[in-house]
Order: sequence, then structure tokens, then C-alpha cells
Amino acid sequence: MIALAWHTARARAGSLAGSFVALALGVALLSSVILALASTVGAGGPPRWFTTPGVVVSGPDSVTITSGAGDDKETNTVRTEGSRAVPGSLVPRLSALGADVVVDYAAPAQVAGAGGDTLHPWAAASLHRYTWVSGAPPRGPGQLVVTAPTSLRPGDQVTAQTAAGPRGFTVSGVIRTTAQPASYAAGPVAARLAGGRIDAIALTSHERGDHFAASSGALLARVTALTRGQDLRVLTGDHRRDAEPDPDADLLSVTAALLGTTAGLAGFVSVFVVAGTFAYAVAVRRREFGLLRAAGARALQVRRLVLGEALAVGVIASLAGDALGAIIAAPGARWLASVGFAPPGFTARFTLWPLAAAFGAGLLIALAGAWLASRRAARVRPAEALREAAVDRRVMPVTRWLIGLAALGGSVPLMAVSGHSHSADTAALFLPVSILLTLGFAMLTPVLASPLIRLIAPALSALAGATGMLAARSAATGVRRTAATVAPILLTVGIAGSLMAGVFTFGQTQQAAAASRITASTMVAPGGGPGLADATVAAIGKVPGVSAAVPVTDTTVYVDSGGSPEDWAGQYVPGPALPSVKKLPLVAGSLAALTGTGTVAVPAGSWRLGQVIPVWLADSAPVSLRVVAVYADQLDLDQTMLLPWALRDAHSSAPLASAVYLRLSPGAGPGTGQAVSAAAAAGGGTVIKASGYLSATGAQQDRLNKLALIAILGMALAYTGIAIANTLVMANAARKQEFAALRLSGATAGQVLRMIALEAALISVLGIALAAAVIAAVTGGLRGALASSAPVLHIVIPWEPVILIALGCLLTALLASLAPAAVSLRLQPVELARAPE
Amino acid sequence: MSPQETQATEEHAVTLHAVSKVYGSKRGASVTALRDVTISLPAGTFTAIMGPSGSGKSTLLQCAAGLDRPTSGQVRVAGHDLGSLSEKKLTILRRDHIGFVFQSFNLLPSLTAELNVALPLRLAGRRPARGEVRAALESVGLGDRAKHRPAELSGGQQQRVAIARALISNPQVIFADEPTGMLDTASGRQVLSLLRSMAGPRRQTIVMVTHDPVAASYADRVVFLTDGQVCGELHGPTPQSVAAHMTGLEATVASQP
Repeated sequence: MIALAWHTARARAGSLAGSFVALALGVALLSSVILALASTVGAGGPPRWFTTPGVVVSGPDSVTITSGAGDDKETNTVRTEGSRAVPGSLVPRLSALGADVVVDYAAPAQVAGAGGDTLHPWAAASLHRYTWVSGAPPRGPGQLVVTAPTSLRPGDQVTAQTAAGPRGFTVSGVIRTTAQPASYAAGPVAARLAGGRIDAIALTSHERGDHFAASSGALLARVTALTRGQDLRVLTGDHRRDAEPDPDADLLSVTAALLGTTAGLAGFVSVFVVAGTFAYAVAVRRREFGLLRAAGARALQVRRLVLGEALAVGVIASLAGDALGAIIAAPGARWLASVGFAPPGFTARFTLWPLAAAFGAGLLIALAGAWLASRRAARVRPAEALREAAVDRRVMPVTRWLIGLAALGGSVPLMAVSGHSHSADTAALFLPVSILLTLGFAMLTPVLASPLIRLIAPALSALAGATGMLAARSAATGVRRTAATVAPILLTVGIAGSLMAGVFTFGQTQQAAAASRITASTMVAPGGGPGLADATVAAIGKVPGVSAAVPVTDTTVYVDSGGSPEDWAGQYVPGPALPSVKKLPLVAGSLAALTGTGTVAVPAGSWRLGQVIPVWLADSAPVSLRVVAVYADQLDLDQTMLLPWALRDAHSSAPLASAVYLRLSPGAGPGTGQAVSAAAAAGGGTVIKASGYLSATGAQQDRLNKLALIAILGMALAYTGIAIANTLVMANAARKQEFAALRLSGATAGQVLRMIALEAALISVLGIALAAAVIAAVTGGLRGALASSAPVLHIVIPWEPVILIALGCLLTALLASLAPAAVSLRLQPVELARAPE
Repeated sequence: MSPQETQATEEHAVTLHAVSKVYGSKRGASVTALRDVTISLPAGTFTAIMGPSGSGKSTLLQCAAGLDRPTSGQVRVAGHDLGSLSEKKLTILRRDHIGFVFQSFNLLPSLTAELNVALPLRLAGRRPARGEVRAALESVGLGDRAKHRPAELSGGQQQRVAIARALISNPQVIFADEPTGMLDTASGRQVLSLLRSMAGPRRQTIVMVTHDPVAASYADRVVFLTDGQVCGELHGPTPQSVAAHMTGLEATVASQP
């Protein structure tokens, strides 16, 4: 039967072409996304900063939680945003080992006109290769070396915004290096500006040449022995990169999340489309299967034939898809980098396993897609070979009912659950909800199509006469073809629309909630640098007319979530002062108690007031904090913790304020505003209205969301567009006989084309209507889910993109139906009637 | 239309003058399906066209019906020179003056019997008069099957629906290509009697291609074709005389080198 399958697959190239194209493109999409995804892992490669030292000692940078005991013991580790400082006491002991030791400080510093946002001791320049562009090393505390490319020249006066406030320097030299851009000052200056916080200690063996490797190994052994028992990382080789500031890490995790979602959606869409094309190909070939059965084939043999064909198509299409995926992965990755979804220079490296995975997935999708189709093919009775069965009967097998109803039914509790869960989970749930709804409606299309078409039919007949009547009739009776075309349209418009509606509604509602809490009228935000120094905050607070200047510093914290570390948003705030600029929906305790270094304020749901909870800070340091205030778990406060201001400095490599909220006294005049502006500008900050800040960050967030959606959806949309065309080309190619009969009944070629166009339009409208139902259901569910967790609800229906996508589907459907029909209508009707099936 | 032409139309519903049809292939080899055929079919007659496989009988029917254009020669149907008509005009001429009945029925699977029958009228932009369609269906004995789809009808019933569809526009000529080819004997007879009955009182011209001597015997006249040429005819045929003639023809064909 496999040999026969290979034979029929070759002979049936036409009808299998649809499945082939769908599968090959699906695998191409999947393999390119997985290739890019694989490239986000270990994208580090060799170190850039610590290239010359053999060994680097650095503080810990991960949180590990061990839960359970015995066989159930489970350990989960998460890498934290920053790392802990290296204790200064280690320096003399490491120096005694007989190697060159460089103590590296990384002080936050923003120098106008120069790259990088850290300031290091000049000695750290020896940790990597560099060449002089001009000038010389810093000779005194007021001198600074910057990295090219820069417009600065030796002798230029610059201001560095540091954690200690603005500092004036004179540029002494410019170097060029492949390391991360940074500024270099005299050792004591860098140490002071870093608050004495040692970032890393680098050791270089004195030996050179052949002995280097051996002596590095010996050095490593001695350093390891020396630091044993201490919570430190001793790094060599490519691991040295782990001690470097990695500005790309955050973005890479965004890239990975984006690609992961894309891969998931691509997989779902592929299964859906490929299963659809196989099912349709089997439906079109009913007669052939009847003939096979009449010729003595057993049901099982027919089934094997279909699966065998799927295997043949699966292997070839997956190989083709892999080849295409390997070609498009790199340009795709570069596009991600160009729009800001991946670090600059991000590209997809060629590795074998993603291609193997995509190949396997392709084969699996083909076989899974053909599985149901093969069952259907095996049920064809021999007598059906003799019947002219272009009218679909029994298009709703039990499995279809079951899957359809289960999918629709499953979305209901999921929506209900999302209403009672954390807001972040609500966001995570609306994708599966919209997928389930889409799947359900697609499965039930054969049942829903007929009544809906009957509803439109009279209008269509009245408007377009005989061709309208024909279009409506043929869409209603050719249920299988109708369902096969409706499915990808429903999928495209439904998923895209509900995803966009969900993301935008979520984002807007969250922003509105955050905005509604701010009572400050004005605020100061860093003008491009990482933050505002305490000195700047103090200067602003001293301006006459400012009654309160409340700084906040955004951070990340890690909590124990069922045995694994989960990252939450954190904010260091001066607790007692916060209520004067921000109104929080407190349910217990008081922010006045959020002082010292052992307190915390949390959203309701996880902990009680007075409870002492373990929290890991951004530098991975574990702390125990007592809950002194609990606020409602609203959308903008979900998984967000407020930490006391005094805890910040010891655990931040850049102790800077992310924003300063201002309250002005009633008597404040325009002079106050000018003085605030001046004080802010001196510290590298800008004054903005509180509402302006939110809408600006909101707009940025919206832009990113939109771009992410375009990246995720774009690929899936292009793919379903091809699926729409695919199904229609297949469907209309199989209708030559019908078109011939129409021509012989006296229809002109124009009338046939008009009927085809009307039918395509009717089916598209049907798909779009069902998609609208999905979007409405998802939005309705979201409304219910968010009602309790947001003070104001902003339901956003993305009309414009949805209408554009719908029109795109309509156009695709029209073109894909008319083009092959127009070609076949160029033949004489008799030739059409004669044309082989 | 000149009086002469009208005269000609009344006398001859279909005229073929020196019609040849050559199917060329790109490799240079060509097949001549019709050689210089000249034949006239008087109005109100039932003509059967017979011949061995490959004799060109279906090609003759298709050229005569305007479904295919001859390589050379002239075809006139219902007073119109088909060669001078555009594809669209040809379609309209077929719709208004010619009916078709095919071996494979060629009904639209998505339409009920009633809608299939009404289709030529509706495509012509005309709403069928009340009872017109019902009458056509009743005339083929299917008044009670109006709401059935083709798949719900037997082969004979489907063919009768096809005949009702061919009749609805009251065409001057009905072309039938092996109309009984897919039917059992009883249904075949029903269909043939129907065709026979139209030629008489309705003054319609019936042209039928068949290879069945019994079917041919329903006609007024049988025209025999071999190798793309007319090679004889019989008037007032009986199954026996047709069979005898065919046997003779096939013997001739077989004896050819």
C-alpha cells in the first residue's frame, strides 16, 4: 500500500499540491522561528569586556529555590537582573596569589556625547584590547577616557550624570575597543562613584606564551580554593561573559518570548490548515476511494493509502520547508533587530536541531492532519464511486461535533477562571480563549453555514438575479468547500482581531488604572539616562514652592511561586511620603510603616498583613520582609511590590530614581516651575506633566505591542492567506464539470465568473461574521474579567486593522477563485465537460 | 432575416456545409475528426447519428450545436451562421434556440430539479412564469420531484430533468449526446419516447448521437458516419435494419488496412 501511495501521490500531484504548499510553508515558518529562537539562547558567545584575564570573580546572580524532599525534591533557578557586589576583603587575598589583579567598578554614569552608561577605573581598560584614537589615560581625578565612536575630543569639558549627581570632567583621551562602550576615570574616582561596590575582580596570570594555558588552569584552581564556601562565581573561558553587563539580556528575553509565541501560533495554524487541506483533498477524491474499494481494497488499505500519501508529502514538504526556513531565518532575525525586538546585530545562527525539530513537527502535523481524513476516506463505500456526489451529505461527523462543542464549551470556564485569577494570568488566558473559540466555530461551520447563507440568500438573489441565487445555493450545498474556506478566514480575522482587541484593551485599561492613581501634578523623568541621582532629587525638593518631591526607583524582585522563583515588578518608594503623590487602593496596613529595610507592601491575595515573606532582590540577595501594607490586586498593581527606600542603595548597581513625583504648595508661582526645570536639567532630567509621562510611556508600550503583534501575526496571517488561496484553488479546480454544466445551461463566461465571485464573497463574509462573533466573545469575556481589577475599563476594538485584514482575506478569496476559473473558462464548454477529473 | 432565409430556417433547422474539423497537436501529428461533411436536418424531424467509435459523431454534434467551432465549412442553426457569432452571442443563441441533453446529465448538483430546469431562463434574465417550470417537469413525468436535488434522483429521473431543462426555453433544436448511455433499458425507453414525442407535435428538431440500434430506431432518419465522413443513411429505421447497417460498416472499417 505504501508503494501504491507513492504512486498515487505522484499521479495526484495536483490535489496534493495544496497540502504540500500548506505544509512546506508551515514548516518554513516553524523552522525559521525555532532557528531564531535557538539563537537567543547562549547568544553571548565569547566575552567582550573580560577578554584578557584568565579568571573573573563576580558576585552571585541567580535565585535558586528548592522545594519538596526526597524523590519529590525539585530545584528551580532563575537568573536575576543584576549580581551582588564582590566583598572588598577578597582583594588583598586574591592579590597574594601572584597574578595581575584588576578590581573593576561599574558606576552608573551618563556622559553626553559618549556611549555606554557605566564608568570604570582606567585599569579596567587592560581587561580587553583597545587602541588609542587620540589623547592619553586619565592623569587626575578630573579626567576621563571615552570610547569611540564619539564626537568628543581630548580637552573637551563634559558632565557625567552619576549616582552622586552631575560631575564635571575633562576628556583626556578616546579609545577604540570591541568591548561594551564605557567611560574610564582614575581608579579612586570610579570606586567612589560606584559607592565602593566592586563589580568584579579580574585575575591575569603573569606567565605568557606556552605556559599561559597551564598557568591559567593553576590560577583557577587557586582562586577556586580561596573562594570555596563563599557565595561567589569564579568564571573562566566563555563563562567570563556572565560577569559582564549585558544590555541585551532583557531585550533577548523579549525576543525569545515573541518568537516563542510566534512558534506556538505558527504550530497551531499549521496543524489547522494542513488538517483542513488533507480533509478537503480526501473529500474531493471520494470517487477515487470508492473505485479503490470497488476494486477490492479493504477499508484499512484505503486508510493506509491516505496516510502513506501524507507521509510522502510530509517528508518532501518538510524538507522543502526546512530549506526555505533556513534561508529566511537570518533576514527575519535581522528584521527583528531593525524594528527593535532584538538586540542590534541579532541574527539566526545555523544549527541543525531546530531544522530537525521542524522537520519532525512537519511530519507529525502531516500525519495528524491526515489521520482524521484517512478515517473518513476509509468509510467511503464502493457504491459511492458510481454516484455523482458533488452535494455534501453528512458533513458533520460525530468527532467534528465533539471537538467543536468541546472547544466552545472549554472557552467558557477558561474565561470564568480568568476573571478570578491574577490580572497577569487574564492576559495570558485570552490567547487560548480566542484559539478555542476560533476552533469551535471553525468545527461547527458546516452547521452554522447553511442557516446563515439562507439568511443572506434572498437578498443575494434579489440583487444579483440568477448568479446570486446560484452562488448562495452552491455555497449552502457545497458545505465542505464552504467550511474549508471559511476556516482559514475565520482563523485569520478571528485570532488577529481578538488578539489585538485583547492586547490593546489590556494595555489601555492598565494605563488608565495607573494614571488614575497619580495625584501629583508634575513629575521629573530622566531625560534619556538610567535615572536621577539622589542629589538631584534633593535639589528639586529644596526648590521653594515644592512641598513634596517623592522619588521612586523601579526594580525587579523574585518571589517563591510554588517552588520556583517568579519575577515581579518592584518599586523602591519612601513609604510615608508616597500617599501625597499617589493614591493606592489600600485594604490593610499603612504605607507610613513602609520604612527601614525589613518591610514591604504587597497586593492582596498572596500574603497577610504582618506576615514575614522571603523575597530576592534584583541583585539576587535574599531578604525577609514583613508585610506592612496590602493593596487591592488591581491590573496596574498586579505582581507589583513596594519596597522601602532604605533598602535600595545596598542592592542596586545604579541607585537612581526612575521618576520623581512633585507636589507643589498652593503658593507656587511660575518661578517654582522654572527653578524645578533648572534643578532637573542640571541632573539630566526633564519636567513633564504626570499625565504626559503616562501617555508617553503608554504610547511607547502601544507601539511595541503593535509591532509585536505585527511580527507574531504577520507571519501567521501571510500563512493563512496562502491557505485561503490554496483551498479555493483546489476547490475550484475540482468544479470544472459544474462550470461546464452551467455554460451548457446557457450561462455566459461572465455569468459563471460573477457567480464564482459572489460565492467567494459570500463565503468570506461568512468567515468574517464568525470571526466577529469570536472577537465579540473575547472582548465580552475580557470586560467581565477586568471589571473587578481595574477602576476604569477601556475596551479597544481594533477596527482599522481588523477591517484591513478582512478585506485582505476577501481579496485573496476573490483572486484565488477567479484566476483558475478564468483560465478554465477560456476553454470551450465541451472541452470543459471532457476535461479529465 | 430575408424571406428566403426564413424559408430555409423552416425547412432546415440545422445545415452543415463542407464542415471539417482537424484536431492539431503541437508535435505536428493531427487528427481529422470530420472531413467535408455536408448535411441538412429538416425542422421537426428526429435524426440519429451513428457510427463506430472515433467516427466523429460527437464532433459532428458539437460543431452543429455551436459547442465547438469547425476548422472549415459553415454551420447554420435556426437561421444563424454560427461562424460569424462571437463567443458571447453564441452562448446566447444556444441559450435561446438550442437545448442539450448529455450522457452525464450535467445537472447542477446544488440546485433542485425545479431550479435546474428554470436555470436557462433565469440566466437569460427572465423570471419563469408561474407553472411554466412545473409544466415542463410534468411533461417529463416528474411533477412530484420538483424539490429534489439531482443526487436524490435516479439516473433516468435526472436525465428527464435534463430534458425538461432543454425544453424550458422552447428551443428549435435539441441536441442529445448518448442520452441513454448511462440509463437502464426501461429508463432509456422513457427518455427516447420523450424525445420522439417532441419531434412530432412540438415541431422541434432532435439530433441524437447514439451507438445503440434500438435508440436509433426511435428516429425518423439515421445518418451513418465513418472516419469523419457521411457514409449512408436510413429512413424509417428499425433496430434490425440499423444493426445490419452498423455490422456492415464495422466490417468495412475492420477490413481497411
